[in-house]
Amino acid sequence: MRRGLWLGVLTLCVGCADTDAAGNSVPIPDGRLFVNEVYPVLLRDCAFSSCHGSRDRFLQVLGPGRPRLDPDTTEVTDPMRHDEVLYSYERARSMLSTGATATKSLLLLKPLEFSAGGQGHRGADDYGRNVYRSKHEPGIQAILSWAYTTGSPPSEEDVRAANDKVLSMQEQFDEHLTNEQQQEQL
Amino acid sequence: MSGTSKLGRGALLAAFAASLSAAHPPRAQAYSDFKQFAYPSNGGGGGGRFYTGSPADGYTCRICHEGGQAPEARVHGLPLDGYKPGAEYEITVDWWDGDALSTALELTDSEGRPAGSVRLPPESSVQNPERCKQAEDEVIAGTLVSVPPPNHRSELAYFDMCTQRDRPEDCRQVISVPACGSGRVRFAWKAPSFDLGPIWFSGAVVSSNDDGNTTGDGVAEIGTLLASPSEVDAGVRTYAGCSALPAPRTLQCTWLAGMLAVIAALRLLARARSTR
Repeated sequence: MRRGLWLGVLTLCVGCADTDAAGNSVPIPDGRLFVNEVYPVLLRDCAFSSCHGSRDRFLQVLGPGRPRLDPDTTEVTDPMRHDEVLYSYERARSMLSTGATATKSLLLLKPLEFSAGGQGHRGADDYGRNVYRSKHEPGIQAILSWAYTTGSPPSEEDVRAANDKVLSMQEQFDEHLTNEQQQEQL
Repeated sequence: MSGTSKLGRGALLAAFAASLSAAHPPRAQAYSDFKQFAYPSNGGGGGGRFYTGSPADGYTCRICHEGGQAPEARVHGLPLDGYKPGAEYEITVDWWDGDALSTALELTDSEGRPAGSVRLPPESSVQNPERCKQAEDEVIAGTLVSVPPPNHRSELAYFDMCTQRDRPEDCRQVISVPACGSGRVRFAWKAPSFDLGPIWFSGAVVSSNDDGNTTGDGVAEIGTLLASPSEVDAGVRTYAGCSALPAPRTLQCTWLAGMLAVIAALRLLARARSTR
């Protein structure tokens, strides 16, 4: 019952732009930083199909190699799409309004180990550990740094540039392996 | 140690070459190609996660792949009764109906740090079931990949460093087999030269239905703890869906084995209670 109410409040957060049902403002953190630094962390650590890639979760993160927003028209491995980055951004920033400060929000508290100041989370790994064991882990640090920025939602151009960057990184990595192979043959 | 590195790198590059030369690669089966594990997560990659289920990864492939019948995997040659420091063991993981089966395996300590060293067999001793069936030249299916530790997992530059001969000591060693029609993977594991405490052998075998996404796929999880020399009478400890077979040093990992293990444990518990 309480969970349903909670989800209802959170859903309203998205609908009413920058103010949630309790009158708290919903932050608008930097969209470009989200695409480049936070979205990859959420995809890597949260967006598995049985976790936050699922429609059963309010914090749903969709994207390449994970569940897609429109699976009928998008291959699993297709590049990032603006609509699903925006969708994931909206869900993530809504989660930031769940605490008096971003640090106290569910987006930061839930994935953090209890002993490190976090709170309970069903998403424990196979060893019963939460996503981040310490506040100092790079993943949660990336989310924290982003949470205190202000800006605008990710633009189509941000997503296009991020796709180009990813492609370039992959090509460089492939090139490195090819060079290694050539050296091996000499 | 450098020989080990070189072997691993050679195998890695051979697999890379095979992945480039495949004229008609199979449809996307999530991460059966090891490069996909390393690629950035916002490009559809694993962002450095290999889903071995080891303490370094935390999850197996089952975190995404689901809905299909789990394959059956057997592991031979593990020192299930405990490892001897510095000793080398030949370990074989085999499976059936292998056209669309892939696997990732790893040996770590309880913190997810690499435990001992792994090397693949030399080309001359590789047997037919250990080769890809789909590639034109039937390359070796197993790839030894040097992987950044969890706190550097998304850094491709660190990944590059891990492939160098003088790699950082914290680079993980993951044995990766793509879905290429092989039936098994064989490798040598040299135990650490000192008592490192219990060592986790972890992995997962994925049976893909080749529909391009993660639904309808089956996963067999592999897991056992190798006792350290200081652990007296630790016994055989398995987890995931594995149970030890009467045959020496053999582990059977399947959904059914996992269920049987649970039933056996419940029976033992019930018997203990009734005796009391």
